[in-house]
Amino acid sequence: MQNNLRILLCKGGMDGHTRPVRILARSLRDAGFDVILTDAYQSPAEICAQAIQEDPEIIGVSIHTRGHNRVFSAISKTLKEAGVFDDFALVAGGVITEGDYKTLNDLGVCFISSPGDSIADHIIPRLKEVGMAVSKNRIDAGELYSRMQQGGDTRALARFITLLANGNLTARQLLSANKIFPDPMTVGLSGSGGVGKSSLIGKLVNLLRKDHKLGVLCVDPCSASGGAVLGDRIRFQTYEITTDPNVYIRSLAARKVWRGVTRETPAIIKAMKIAGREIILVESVGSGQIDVGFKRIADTFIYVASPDMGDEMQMLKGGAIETADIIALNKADKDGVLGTEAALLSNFGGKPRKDGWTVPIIKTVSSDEKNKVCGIEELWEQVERHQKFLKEKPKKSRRTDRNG
Amino acid sequence: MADKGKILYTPELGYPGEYPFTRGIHKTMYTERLWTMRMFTGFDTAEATNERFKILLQAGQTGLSTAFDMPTLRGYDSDDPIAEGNIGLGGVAVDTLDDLEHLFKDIDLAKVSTSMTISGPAIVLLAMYFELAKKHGVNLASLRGTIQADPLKEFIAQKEYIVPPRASLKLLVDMIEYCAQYVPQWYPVSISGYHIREAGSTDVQEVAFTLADGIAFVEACLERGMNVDSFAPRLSFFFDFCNDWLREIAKLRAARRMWARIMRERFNPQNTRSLMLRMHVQTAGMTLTREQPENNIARVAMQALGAVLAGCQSLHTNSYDEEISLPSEKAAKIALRTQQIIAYETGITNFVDPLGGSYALEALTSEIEEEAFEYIKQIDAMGGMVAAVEQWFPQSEKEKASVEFQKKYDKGKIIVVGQNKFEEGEVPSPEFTPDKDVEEKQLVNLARVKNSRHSQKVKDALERLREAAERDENCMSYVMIAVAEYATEQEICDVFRDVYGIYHEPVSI
Repeated sequence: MQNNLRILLCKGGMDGHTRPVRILARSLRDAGFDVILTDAYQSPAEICAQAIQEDPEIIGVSIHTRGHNRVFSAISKTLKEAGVFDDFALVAGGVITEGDYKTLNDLGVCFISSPGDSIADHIIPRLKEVGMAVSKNRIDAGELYSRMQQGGDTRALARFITLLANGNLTARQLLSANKIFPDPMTVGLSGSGGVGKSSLIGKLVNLLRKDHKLGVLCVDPCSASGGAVLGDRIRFQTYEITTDPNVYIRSLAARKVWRGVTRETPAIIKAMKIAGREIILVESVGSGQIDVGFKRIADTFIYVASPDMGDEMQMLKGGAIETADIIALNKADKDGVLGTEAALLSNFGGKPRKDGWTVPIIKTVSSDEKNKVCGIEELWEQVERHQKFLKEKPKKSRRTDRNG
Repeated sequence: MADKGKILYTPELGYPGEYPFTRGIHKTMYTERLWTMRMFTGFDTAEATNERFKILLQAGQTGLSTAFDMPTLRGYDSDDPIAEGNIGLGGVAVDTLDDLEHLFKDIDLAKVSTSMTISGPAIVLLAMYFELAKKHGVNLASLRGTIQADPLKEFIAQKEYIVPPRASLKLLVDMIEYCAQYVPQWYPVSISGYHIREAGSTDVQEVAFTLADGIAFVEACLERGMNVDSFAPRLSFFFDFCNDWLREIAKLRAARRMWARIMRERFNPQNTRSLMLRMHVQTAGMTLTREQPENNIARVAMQALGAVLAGCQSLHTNSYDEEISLPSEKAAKIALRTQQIIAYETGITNFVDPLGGSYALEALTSEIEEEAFEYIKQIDAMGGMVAAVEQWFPQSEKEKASVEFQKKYDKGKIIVVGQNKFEEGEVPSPEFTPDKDVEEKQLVNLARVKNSRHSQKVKDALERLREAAERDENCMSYVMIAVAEYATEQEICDVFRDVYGIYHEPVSI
């Protein structure tokens, strides 16, 4: 199998016992799966919305509260109503007694694991089996493409992205052939680990989703095994965000990191535009060296920093931060923020660049504590200002990598 | 016998009832008074749970312990869409004071001590219980019981949080402060290691993280301006009793000795009772199997024996069917009888700390204490437990341990009788079946309560609560006024969500 099997893995319903799924996620990653881990308390509505957006082969729901009949009944119903029931393999785990197996099987669950099952000897082989059975049923790229073009068909967009991510040539050709398409601005976000990038993205999503159709792309690197745990969306999504048709979130595993994302990312961004997404946010792979090439992926590049950077600032010189259009100084309620702001200004901002743009430093707080949140609107104002700045320049100076 | 005990005196061990309390917090322990037999109970409606409470009291349990359903534990009412399918499933549903009235019908709150296992919305349930006591004419000054309330272990393990860590801590101090003044016999917190252990931590981590949580709570109360002796005697703890029997007993003794040292060295109380670690213990849920469930009776018996030999003040024993369902009445009774057999038949209650002096036990106690103090040193260096939780330290340590455990299990290095060795037979069907009509009953009742209450008074009470929260006042009495008017749990929690924000876990893997 050339491409990794993908599994959406979560706790179903009001269940917070995350120990088993977090262990299983690692094991699956080590066995070569891409695991979209969305953790605790996932309602059926959220599970289905995520499945449709992420297009995994397998939906894996673990339930220890004995609420499995209700949860799977709701999942089955919702998937059937969306016409996508046959697109996924449904698997279950948790505290499920044999007496309920028939009920679950009738609802479409094709594998049920019990506590004490060997992950390596029993669960993983079975998941590979059921996942492979599904991936054989992929539909035609052309059909997906025309459905996608009409806009509003999340499922078609999701499946088309899967084709692109897997290197499907027909899909690429269909995309390249399209020279006339809506071309909204894209915003890239990057920054070291621990700066609160994900919660900042969450605040931006909440700000924008009322009036705009958003596309959000989160990229994570693969481990040495070739598999990946894709755990970005869970860091900022809420029930409202996940189930809002205005928000499309997709997680990507980077088998090989290219420009902070993947080689297929520009094509995927273009697909989102064709499908009618009006604002596209791209989150690069997390901590570690942030690629200077990342700026070519988006129109506006926000670099996210935080006051605990300290000595790190010297190490960042010559790196991606020098290519940022805006610097968001997050966790601005922490000590040392003014010093960090001054240092950032003197090193990376303050003066106009060669292209005429002056990089602003915007202080933000994206904490859970409502009365502390600030700077989000100001940040977005700067993005809009930068986009206006770009529009007023001649066309050739817009970055060429954005659309694959 | 007392004279012969002198042979064992060392400063490390001390005497029972004396610093550092390694051998027990009371001089006479069970020779004078047994531990409280407190069976964790809750399912379906308040009426159903009330019946089970009474059955178990009749059967000889000596304290009550309440299990709530998930919506209640997370601060949602039964009529919120998120609650659908979860009402009464893992515990009893409580939306308003009315439910609590049914829950404790015909039970004399003056005579029984009640423990309530709830943390995120703890302040609401505590307020409801106190209002209920007042309605029953019970003087708050003599009311006895415990509420779990420990917020930090939620972020580390149980995940039943609502507002972010610092706000959660503030609400806890509100409860402790209120009780210190008005309900002095109440234990306003049960600082918990059980959940951390069940989520996969090691025994050393269980002790270290629990005591570090305790340090954070003491510091928060002192910051509020309270005197340490005004609240420390009413701090209680809650630990697991797992496999590796001697180590588990050693762990509990180490915890007692460590806490005494911590309290004396850091906080210098005047009252000896502020140095004592009072503990409730539960036999380990994660050791139970669904295969050959009767084996669980043997497991629980041995774990319970260990907990008693370790000197616990209160004990819950799991039922043999809990790996496949909530406890049936029959299974719950067997679990209670297990405790009674230990208490009345084994004769160990005639001795105080009979295992004291065992070379293996004392070596293990010191080893666990040493390793646990290493963790506490690390946590101190991070700025204390709240900072450590915000930096994801205990969470990641616990998770590493859980991955290690799974690896060992997968390699066959951990043997579970009946599950990966000596397997035979089919997994039986559960004996307990939940009430199919519980959702409807609860929704009908909630609607009735909402319709018959004075909605303007509720609005006013919630508004005053919000103002108090925004002014950073102690919220306890405002919550009590609101629950007395039959404000719902979610209505009150929504005020907190609004004022303090909703916690979002910041890390994946």
